[in-house]
Parts: sequence; C-alpha cells; structure tokens
Amino acid sequence: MIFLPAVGAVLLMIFRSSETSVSRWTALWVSLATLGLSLTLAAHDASNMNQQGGVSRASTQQNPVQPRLGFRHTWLDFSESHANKNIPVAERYGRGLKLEFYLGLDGISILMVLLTSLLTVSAILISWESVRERVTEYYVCLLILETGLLGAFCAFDLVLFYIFFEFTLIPLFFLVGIWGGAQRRYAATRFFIYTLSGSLVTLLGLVMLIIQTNQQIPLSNPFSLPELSRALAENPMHVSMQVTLFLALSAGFMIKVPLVPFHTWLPLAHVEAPTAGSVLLAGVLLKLGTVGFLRLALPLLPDACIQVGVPLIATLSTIGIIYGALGALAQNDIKRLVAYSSISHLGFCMLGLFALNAAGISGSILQMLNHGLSTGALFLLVGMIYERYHTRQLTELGGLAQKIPLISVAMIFICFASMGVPGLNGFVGEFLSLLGMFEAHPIYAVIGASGVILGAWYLLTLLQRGFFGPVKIPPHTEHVPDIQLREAIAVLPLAVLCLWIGVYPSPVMKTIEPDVNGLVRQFERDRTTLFENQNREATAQAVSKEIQSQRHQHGASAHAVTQIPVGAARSSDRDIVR
Amino acid sequence: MFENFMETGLWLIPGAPLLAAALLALFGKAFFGERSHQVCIAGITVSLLLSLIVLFSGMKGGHASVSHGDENVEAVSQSHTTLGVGDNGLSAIYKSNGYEWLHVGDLRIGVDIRADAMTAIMLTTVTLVSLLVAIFAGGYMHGDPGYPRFFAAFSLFVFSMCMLVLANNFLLLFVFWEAVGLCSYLLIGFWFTRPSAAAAAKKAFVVNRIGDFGFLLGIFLIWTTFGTLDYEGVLGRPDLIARIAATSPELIYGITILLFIGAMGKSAQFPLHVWLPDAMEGPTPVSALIHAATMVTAGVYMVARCTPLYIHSPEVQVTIATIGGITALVAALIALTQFDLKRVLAYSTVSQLGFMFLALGSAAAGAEFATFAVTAAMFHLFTHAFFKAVLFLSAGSVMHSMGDVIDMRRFGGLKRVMPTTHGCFLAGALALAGFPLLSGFWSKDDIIAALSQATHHETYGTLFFVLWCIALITALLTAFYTFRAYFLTFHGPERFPPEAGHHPHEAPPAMAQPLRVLAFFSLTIGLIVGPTTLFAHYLEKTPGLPAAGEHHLHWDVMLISTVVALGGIGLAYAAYVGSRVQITAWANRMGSMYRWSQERFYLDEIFFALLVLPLRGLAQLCLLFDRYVIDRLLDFIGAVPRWFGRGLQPLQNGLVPSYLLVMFGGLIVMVLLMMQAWAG
Repeated sequence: MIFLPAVGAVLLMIFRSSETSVSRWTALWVSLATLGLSLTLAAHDASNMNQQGGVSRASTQQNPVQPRLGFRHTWLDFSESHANKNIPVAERYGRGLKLEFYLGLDGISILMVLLTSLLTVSAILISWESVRERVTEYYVCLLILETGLLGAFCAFDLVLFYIFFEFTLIPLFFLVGIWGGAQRRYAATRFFIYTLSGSLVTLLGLVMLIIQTNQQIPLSNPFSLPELSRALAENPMHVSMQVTLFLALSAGFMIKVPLVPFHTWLPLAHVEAPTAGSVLLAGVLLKLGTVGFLRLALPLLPDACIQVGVPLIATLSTIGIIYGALGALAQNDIKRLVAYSSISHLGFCMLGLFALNAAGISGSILQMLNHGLSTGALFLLVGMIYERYHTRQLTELGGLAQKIPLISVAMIFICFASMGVPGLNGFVGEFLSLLGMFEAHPIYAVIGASGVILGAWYLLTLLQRGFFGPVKIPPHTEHVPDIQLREAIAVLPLAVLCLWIGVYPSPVMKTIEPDVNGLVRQFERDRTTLFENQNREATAQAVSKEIQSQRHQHGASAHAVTQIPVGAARSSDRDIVR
Repeated sequence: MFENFMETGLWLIPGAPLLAAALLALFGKAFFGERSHQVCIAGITVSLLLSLIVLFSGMKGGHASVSHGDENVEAVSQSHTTLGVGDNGLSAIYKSNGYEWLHVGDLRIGVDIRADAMTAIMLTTVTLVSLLVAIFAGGYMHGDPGYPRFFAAFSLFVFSMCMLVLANNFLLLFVFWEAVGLCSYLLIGFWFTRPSAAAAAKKAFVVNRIGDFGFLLGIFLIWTTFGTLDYEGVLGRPDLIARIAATSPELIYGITILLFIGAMGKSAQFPLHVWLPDAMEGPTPVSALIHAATMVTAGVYMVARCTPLYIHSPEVQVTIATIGGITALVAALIALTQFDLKRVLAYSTVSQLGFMFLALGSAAAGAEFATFAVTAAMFHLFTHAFFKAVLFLSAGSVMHSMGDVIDMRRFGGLKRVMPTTHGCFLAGALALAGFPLLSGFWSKDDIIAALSQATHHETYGTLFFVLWCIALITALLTAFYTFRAYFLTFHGPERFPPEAGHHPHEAPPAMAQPLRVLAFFSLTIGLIVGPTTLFAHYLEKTPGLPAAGEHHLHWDVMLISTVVALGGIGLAYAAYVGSRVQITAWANRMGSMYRWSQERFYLDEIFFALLVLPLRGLAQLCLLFDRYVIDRLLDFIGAVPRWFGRGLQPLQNGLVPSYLLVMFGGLIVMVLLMMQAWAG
C-alpha cells in the first residue's frame, strides 16, 4: 500500500505524456486505490478487534509499542549470521547491525494512514485546474510525498522511520519551491533548512539511543521499535542519559510540530505553498512531529518525559496555544490566519500528549486527526476562494456568503469544527486533551483552556469580516461560480468525518485504545518508581490541611475559593472517593 | 407497554425537532420553501405532546409510575439522609440510555437522557413557548429569502434545548449548552448582510465562551473530584458531597463557582450580560424564544439542578445572590432610559434573570430554605417565559407593522391601530410589572419572600437585607420602565414612521393567535399553579432537592409588592400620560446619571478598553515578535556560517607569497610546540 503511490509516481515519470489530463487521472486513480487499500486495512483491523472482542481489551499488550499487523524484511544484514564471515563491525557490537524493513500498523498508524490517503485525494482534486505548469512532475511530487508520509506512519524500525521522516522533505521542498507563490524560493529554503537542522540533531539522538541501548542489552534487532521499547521498559536507562536523548530527539520533532518559538517557518511555508501543499503540510506533515514524540520519546524515554518533557513541552505548548491564537487574531491574510491557528491546535495536541494519561494521549491522537480534517478542509476552502478572487486579504474581501453561499456554508461549518463546538470533531479532541492535562497538571490546562475563547474569537472574526456584512470583492470577479462538483467531492468527506467523529467518536477511540493503554501503563509504572507517589500525596495532604487550618483561622470567605490551588488538594480528595 | 413507549418517546422529544432541522437543512430550499414552518411546527408539536405526557405522568402520584423490569427505563429513587431534612419521597425518573459516546480509561460518557420533575417543567415550558413562537414566526418571517434556513436553525435550537434539559451527565449538558449557543449565533446573525448583526453574533458567542471556559474547568474539577460526570454519581450522592465538603471544602467551592461562571455567560449576568442586548439584532421571534424565554434561563436551570452541590457552599450562594442583585438593579437602571423597544425588553430580561439568581442565592440562609429558593427561581423562570415571550412577540408585531422601526420616539398611540397587539402587550406588561394576581406577581413574591427569610440569617442577614431592598427597588423600576415602554408605544397621539407605509396594520392571524394564547398564559398561569402550590409540590419531586417546609402565602410580602407594582405603574402613567411629572426636566436634572444609564454605564466601552484592546495589542505584538525577534535571530544564526566563510575568504587570495608566509608561520608554531613538548 505504501509503495503504491510511489509506483504510480514512477509510472508517471516514465510514461510522461504531454497530455496533462492523463497524468491527472492516473494520479487520482492511484490515490483512490491507496485510499481503498487503507480503508480495507482499517476494516480488516476493525473486524479483527471485534472478533477478539473483550479479549483484546482485557489482554495486556506486552510492549508499549506493538503493531497489530506487521511486515518485516531484512534488507541490510550485518548481524551474526554474516558476522561469521568476519565482518568487524558486527564483532565490535557483539550482535551487529541488522537493518530491517519493518512496517506495521497499529491504531495510531491506521488513523494517520487513513487521514493521509484521504487528504491526498482531496489535494489532487483541488489541484485539478490550478496547476498548469509541469503537471506531471507536480503529481509525481504529490504521490512521492504520500509514500513518504505513509511510510513514516507505518515504520516500526527506527532507521526506517527516520528515512521516511526525512524523505518527505524533498517532495515538499519542490512543491513549495516550484509551484508556490511569489516568495516560494525563500520559503522553501527556509522550510528545508529549518527542519533539516532540527532533524539532524534528532538523528544524532537516535544513533546515541541505539548505541546506548545495545550496550546495555544486546538486541537481535537493534532498531526494531517494539523490541527496543520492551527492552527499555524492562531495564530503563539512566535518567540523565534519557534527558539528553529526549532533548536531542525532540529538537527535530519540536520544529516539525511546530512548537513556539520554532514555528516561524510554518506561516511562510503555508502562505507560499500551493493549496495541495498546504493541505498536506498542515493536515499530515506536522503530525510527523507529534507522532515522533508518540512513537519514540514516550515509549523509549518515559522518565525523561516526566522529568523534562512535561515542564518543557507543556509550557511551550501552552504558550503555543495562546501565541498561535493571538497570531491568528492579528492576521489579514486568511491563509496565514489558518496557519497560525494550526500552531494553536497543535499546542492542544502536545498538551494532551504530555498529560501522559489515557485521556490526554487519546485526546491528543484524536486532535491530530481532527486538525488534519478541519485544517485540511480550511486550506482547501481558502484555496477555492483564492482561485476565484485572487486575493486572500480580509481587507479586500467581504460578504462572500452572498456571492458563494455553498463555499461559505462549508467554511462556517469547518470553522465551527475547528473552534471546537461540541457535536463536531474538534471538541472531543480538545476536551480530552485538556481533561487529561487537568488531571495531571491543572495549571497548564487552565491556561490552555483560555485558548478556546481566543479560538472562537479569531475564527468568528474571520467569518464576520470575510463572509458576512456587505459584499466587497475585487473588481472583475462578480460572476465567479460557486463550489464545483470536483471541489465539493474534495471537501465533503472531510466535513462528514468532522460531524461523525463529533457525534460518535467511539470507533476511533476503540481503534487506538490498545496502543494508548500500552503507552500509559508504562507511565503508571514509572511514576510509582520514580516519584514515590506516597510521598507526593502526603505533601499534598499536608498542604490541603494547612489550607484548611488557615481557613478556619481567617474564617471562610468566598474569595478564598479562587485562590486555592486546585492541584494541591486533588490527591487528598481521591482518598475520599476511594 | 407504557414504559417501552416512554423510552422511545423520551428520545422523540428532542428527536422530532432534530428530524425537522435535518429535513429543512437538506431539502428546505429545494422542496419546502414557503412551507418550511409547517415542518418545524410539526416537529415541535410532537415534542410538546410527549413533554405533556411526561409532565402529567410525573404528576400522577409521587412515586414511580414505571416498572423496574425494563433494563433501560428504570425508576431510580434515592434516599436522602443527610442534612437532617429527611426523605422527601422522590419521584420517578424516566431514564433511557443511548450509546456510548466516549470511553477512555476510566472516563465513560454515554448519550443518556432522563427526565425528572424539573426536566418535565423545563421541557413543557420550552416546547410550548417554542411552538407558539414558531407559529408566530411563520407569519413574521413570511417572504424572507432565508425562510427555510430560519426554521432549520429554529428546529435545531429546540432540539438542543430539549437535550440540554434532558442530559444525564455534565458533559452532555455542556455539549448542548454550547449547541444552543451555536444556534443562537446562527440566529442572531440571521441577517448576516448587516454588519451589526454579524458583530452581535460574534460578540454573543465569544462572551458565552468566556462563561463556557469556567464551565469546562468546573467539569474537569468534577471529574477529578468525583471520578464521574453522571448526575447520579455526583448530584445523586449527597453523602459523598457532604464528606468532600467536610474534608476539602475548597473543591466544592471551586466546582460551584466555576459552574456559576458558566451560568453567568449563558444567563447574561453582570458583567457578562453585554452580549444579550446586542443579540436583539436577530429576528424578533428569536429574541422572544432564545433570548428571553428559554436559552438564557439555562444558567438558572443548571444552578438549580446542581443544588446538592450549592447547598454546601453558602459563600458561593452569597456571591450568586450578590451578582444577581447587581445585575437586576443595573439592568433595570439601564432599561429606564432606552428608546429601542426591544432593548428595553432585553435589559428587562437581564434584570429578571438577576432576580432568579437572587432567589437561588438566597438559599445560603440554610439548607432547609434551599428548596423554597429553588422553587422561587424556577417558578419565576416558568412565568417569565410566558410573559416575556408575549412582550417580545408583541414588540415584533409592532415592528412588523411599523416597517421594522423599533425606536419608540418615532411611533406612538398604536392602541387603536393594533388592538390585539395592544391588549397582549398590556397583559405581558402587567404580568412583568407584578400586577396583583397575574403570574409575575406570584413568582416575584416568592423571590422576595425567600429573600426576606434569608435576612434572618446571622452571618449574611445584613447583606440579604440590602439585597432585599435592591429587589424591591428593582421591582419598582421594572414596573416603571415596562409601562414607560407601554405608554410610549400605545398611548399618546397616533404617529407612524414613513417606513410603515400608508396603512399600518394589525398582525395577521398567524401572529395574533399565538399572542393571544401567550397573553392568556401570562395572565393566569401564575394563579393556577402558584398559590395552589401545584408548582412547588411538583418541583419538589426533583431528586436531589432537600425537603421543603410548609408552603404558605406571604401576605405581608404580597402587600408590599402590590404597592411597589402599582406605584411604578402610577409613576409611569403620571410621567408619560398624565404629564403631571415633567419627565424631561427630571432627566435633565439627573444630568450625568441619565447619560450613564442611556450609555449603559459604558460597560461595552470598558470591556473594549480592558479586554479587547489589550488582546489585540498583544496579538500585534506577537506578530512583531515573530518578525523582528525570532526571524532576526534565525537570520543571524543562518548568517553565522556565511560570516565564517567570509572571514576565511581573504586567506584564499590566490597569492603564492602569502600562502608561503602562512605555511612558514605554521611551521614555526609547530616547531615551537614540539620543542615545548620535548622540554617537558
């Protein structure tokens, strides 16, 4: 499935035809076939889950990371079987290197694969007429990008993951650099250098991680993620080592997500990228960063996540939520506005992830999916508007609801999904992320939740200025058509999914449940060993008692209510409940 | 048989309007067109009939009318042993489980609905008023290009509101809490081509979001405290609440105050009331239904529903009462000087909501008063829904005939032209002013009685005395401004604005009939269910409410409020009809006070200066920071290699002598180093 788009791309390259429609249709059919395949896989997985029924839910997943479907093929083997042939590298490491082609699917990758293949179809449909130059190359780039993304989500081998992770850069670089806007060269270069420099540090971290682990516990497959995670769960690394590795790994992921202050490549790249590029960039590519955290940092370096990850990442993502929202508020360019809203949304995502509990992580994964759907759809719609009016400036647009009612309805709907109105998808993810964080560290959740207010503010300002009020459009655009069938097909599935996930999120949650549980169990175990929970609870109780005694002394007053740190007393009330 | 019927029936109450909304949204324009209102009315009629069944089956006997056999529908009766108030014979709850919405870790949230006495009352109020308003709107909105869209959003609202009161857990409550806000947004911004409507819609949603922020945090705190979000697990366990309140009261305080912040947003309490007057940009039927009768009372419903939590935090209840009092007074003062008829009514709504919160807060006087206080608040909510709806719809009828002019300075003396509207407005105005024996009289009496009971409390007695005075002053102001509006509109010389055309007309039957029905209710409903204690006894069956004491009529309070109401009406008559009092002279004499009231105490401006401007500034600052700090820093980092390269560039100047020189220098350094190493 992963290589289907790549095969399509190669075919396109070999049989490049002057007929642009041929390459379009080929690309469309290839992407549709990919979508079909991934749907089949998802359905297969769902039926498997149903067959196992309660068993799978009850049965404990052994490794923190474990794919449910796997495909492995050794492609570079320096391990012992070859070591007998006197390969020095292998002897030095005791066991040796074995690069595996280890692809697999777990709940997380199923969701991400579905998202990627769906958004690619939409991206191809939306580029149908807007791309007129070097059409074949364009679709080749899109399909290669899809392959890279699918590969990264499905890789269960560290090296393979990294290869795919980096591989996505190349097609996107060309997409932005060749088919982008006025400043495309600058944007593409900056985007490339920004992310590349980050991921080089990540590579360093990965290498160090593998060497460290294999010095401790020699593994037969030193790069296999499930085996690594199990080995590290049994014999955790020293905390300071973990912290170093965590910082190294997160360098690349933080830029990819992006967390403030590493975000400035994003608005630029989005604005300059062609619509399809923006859709895939926001919808899927950013998730490589979060998935990186989820796949590598959380299961392999749990102690570092607790010690450094929570304060560092949670602070940055809280800042990101507010900062992104404020940035969006100040924008005149719709596309830039949506780009900044991405920063805010990814903040929620990371906040939930580093709650390190079931609610938070599930919420975070859901938020990844939601953000892909709603922001992807937003970019599609912005692209349609740009195609019609050749401007994205809110100062030049107004009252579009009268001119292009159907696009406007879609826009309003997606904006509501994006701002987290209950009943649509955004709410579920935000709610779970914040709830998870509130359980773990209330203060971050409280500050983060204020982003919900700002989110409504900037999106409604967008609607108010661009779509309501008297009509204001650039000259000579009075008779632009409303949504075309092709565009409707691109947007409609996303909107339907937004509604479906909002009304009935259970299937999605069931898909990721085993994986989340596997991850979370790790943290529950770790917390007790690392932090001596009892001590913490004891201090918390002491604090709350102190507060109570103070209250008795000073007499209870209504104003004191807000001043009491909620977290301090939380553990004590747990005792009451149980 | 009946149970099975009720299980689906309960779902049909919100389901029928939802179906109507879906039909209208999908096929409205193409298929229904001008018949859209029929779909909506049909849906709401179904819900109304079923709500009535729920209401009356709850009335039959106090106890379970539902068998225990069925899995899904069960009669849950709980025992209350805390607080020494004893068991008060809880009524049956219709309960029906839908599907599992979320299941993550320990968190398990289902789409489950239930109906108890309080829900039944709310349901009946909501569906009845909705039905009448929908019929009215069928005439009022006639000919509007967005006709199907209006009724689609209208049906969606009725669905959301029904689900809001039927919700069986806090998250579902929150979901539909926001959903009604969404419908309100869509309907305020219905005429989206007007910039003012679009701005008002946004303002309503964002201000509501501020409240929702508190509500959401309250839900989080409930979750971390109780480990569940179901009503049964939280409100249904008074013993647990009492234990938590004893050991860590700050948790209960936190929950209650956060929930109240949510209620302040939705129910337009000071200082979050600023959205409601602006919301009058929406079509008048919307103002009547959403922004007067139903949605804005959701906050009152929520606080009343959470009474088991609130009785453990008297401090918060005092805060509620204080904020309610401030709201009631401030809004009434503003209403005195507005010239926009709908705005007068909007501020009056804010003021009356303040009254309801005053009542809820007066429960601070002790747990034994809680039920009385809640009953007073819910009763006022109930009667207010009718008389405020009739007032708004009459105002809509006036607007309809005056060519959408709503400024009371531009028309007058409509008594003869629009007799039905005049009569209905008068009925509503009398009820609102608290004219003896009309519905507003009974419910307002209850609130004032609850407050006067609270004045006997040793700690908060003085505060409640002040609030009691505020309530009376507000009641006087209410009577005055209501009749000011009435006299300005319907009395005096006949005047029409040019927009009205040549023939200002009475409302068509589709609009007049619902007006008559609502007017009838606002005249009589209070007398039917108030002094007969029908309402109080019914509401008492709500599980979670502590048992109430005896109900008796408060003659002293009734006397005072009669005097107050008549006094207010008399003053208004004297000022605007009899012209015994020179009102303009008075206004001039008040000078700055008058301007303050007319300018709504500059609250919008204060909000703008304190909240909107700084945030906008901060937003700009963020952008500048991005552009001039982060990007400069990046350019700097990016430039370092180039500088490095540039620094090395002169070395490669291509001149052989300079290369030789450098080589020679290097050789000397190396030799020196080796010698040093040798020497040790």
